Amino acid sequence: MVNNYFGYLVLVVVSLGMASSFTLIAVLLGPKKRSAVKDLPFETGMPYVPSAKSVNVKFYLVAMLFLIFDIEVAFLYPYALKVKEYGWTGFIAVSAFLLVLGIGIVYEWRKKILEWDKD
Amino acid sequence: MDIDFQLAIILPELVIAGGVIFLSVAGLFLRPNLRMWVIPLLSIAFMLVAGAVLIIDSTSGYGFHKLIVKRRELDFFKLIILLGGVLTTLISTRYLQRRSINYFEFYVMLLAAMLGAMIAVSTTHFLTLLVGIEILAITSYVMCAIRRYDRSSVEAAFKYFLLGSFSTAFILFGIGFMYGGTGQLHFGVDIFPNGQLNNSENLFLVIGGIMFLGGLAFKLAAAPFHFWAADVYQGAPTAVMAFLISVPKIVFLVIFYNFLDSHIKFAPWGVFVLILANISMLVGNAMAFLQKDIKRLIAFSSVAHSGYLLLIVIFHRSEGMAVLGYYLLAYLLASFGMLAIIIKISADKENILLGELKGLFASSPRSVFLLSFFILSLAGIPLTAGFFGKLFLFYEIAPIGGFWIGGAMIINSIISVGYYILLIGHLFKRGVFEHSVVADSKNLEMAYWLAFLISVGILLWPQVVNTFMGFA
Repeated sequence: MVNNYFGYLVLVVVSLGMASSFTLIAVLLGPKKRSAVKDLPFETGMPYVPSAKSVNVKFYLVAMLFLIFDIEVAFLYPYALKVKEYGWTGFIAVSAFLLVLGIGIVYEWRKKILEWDKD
Repeated sequence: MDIDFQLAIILPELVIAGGVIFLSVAGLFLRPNLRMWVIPLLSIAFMLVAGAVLIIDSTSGYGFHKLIVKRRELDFFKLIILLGGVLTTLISTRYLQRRSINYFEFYVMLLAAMLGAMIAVSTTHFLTLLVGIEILAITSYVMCAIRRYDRSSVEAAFKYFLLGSFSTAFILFGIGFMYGGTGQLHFGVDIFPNGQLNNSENLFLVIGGIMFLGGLAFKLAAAPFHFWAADVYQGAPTAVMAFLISVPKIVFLVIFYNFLDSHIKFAPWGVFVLILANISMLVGNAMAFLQKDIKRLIAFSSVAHSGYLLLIVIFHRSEGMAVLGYYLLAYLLASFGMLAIIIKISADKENILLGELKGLFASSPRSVFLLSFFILSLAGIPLTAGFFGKLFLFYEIAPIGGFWIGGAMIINSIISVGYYILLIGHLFKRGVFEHSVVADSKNLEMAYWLAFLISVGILLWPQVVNTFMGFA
């Protein structure tokens, strides 16, 4: 059984070897000219921000909430493909799932997480 | 398309899940002064209803395409888990108010942890198991971090979170290997009746099983995977610590038992667990002697108890579950009783050193009496429930494990009596007790008297566990 995976091992070794040798060659042979601008952290073309305090922490919260709901709603796609097959049983099950999701929104709303323009 | 939709089989879990949803909404709409006592009360009510369902419904069988298994033995463990939840709620109410961390989410998280624990106990399928473990783990991290402006609590929660996720990764990786080896995600006794995996040449199974068991040992705090335990228990709020040293221990021992029960003839795993058990007993008992903080001492004694209980996971006959159940019930009651008293005598300070216990007998003799009772029960001194637990354990393992295994357990128990007696000695030292004692909490009193009464109850009628599990 282990022998079946020998080819896979070869693939891993070869690909790691190629990637590291390319990096190594570039480091050894490439020309290097250091300057103050080049040593700055690069952030997708944006000017460098000295302090992170200017970003409101609520952005992070909202992003996280979005991610949670986004992933949970992704569970509906498999159901959408099989709606007719599952019938009413499936409908009730998915409704229960959506009810729990809805309670999540109620929780956010009452905890005033969605009011992120106040401060 | 047939969906195996047997809701009756998960009725207790459904009650708890409904409780989680209901309480998380109810807490938002209640006025704060009302919320303070309504939420804990309702949470206990939900646990009692689930417990009543467990007691009444004595059926057994499979449900949801064998994702869920219901057996009378497993019902008993769910019942102790719920008892642990009720006791945690009782000792938390005043404690959370006094430390001004009285968020109602604590009780919701506790109830959700009960749900995860009950799911993890009642399955012999790896994926359902993982869901249960994760619900239990994530809610435990939150409860651990509930004192979020306290540095030590946050540190404990973060350590617990990192090492917990690390061990979950191990468990998941092990499951992956075992799935590669067998093509099966089930591990129940009924599916592998005679230990069909008795094929020690299967490298995937050896590696996967040892990673899986190692990850579980992390969660169980069995040495040499116990390093997080003392720090986390010391930093966690005392009420949460009572939960953390008892309920996850029940859950993970039952998982160990269920997993190895079907593959007990698969030698490498048995040897691995035997090594874990012996190291845990030795390290737990030896390190407990060195501790100055009472919570750290209890943490190391819990490591040693993991060791004793891992022995029965390997060496047991058909009624091994009853012995495990009795021991765990006695252990849970003793640790809850002890920590309830510690909450009572540490009104103004979270961590009490052993030297600071002096003069306690003069200021609160009743606390000293109860604390001594629970400590003796943990030590396994005759005429306590813990003694019967150790006795049954010895009777169960000695005929199969032989002289060395039985002897190792006895010697370790004798070593452990040393630090328990030293701890009791500190209680009776002369001096002035410098901390204030909680006098106004009826719930706390109810918790330790409940633990005391049930301890005495199972001491007088030890056969109750056998009867419940149907071994009689």
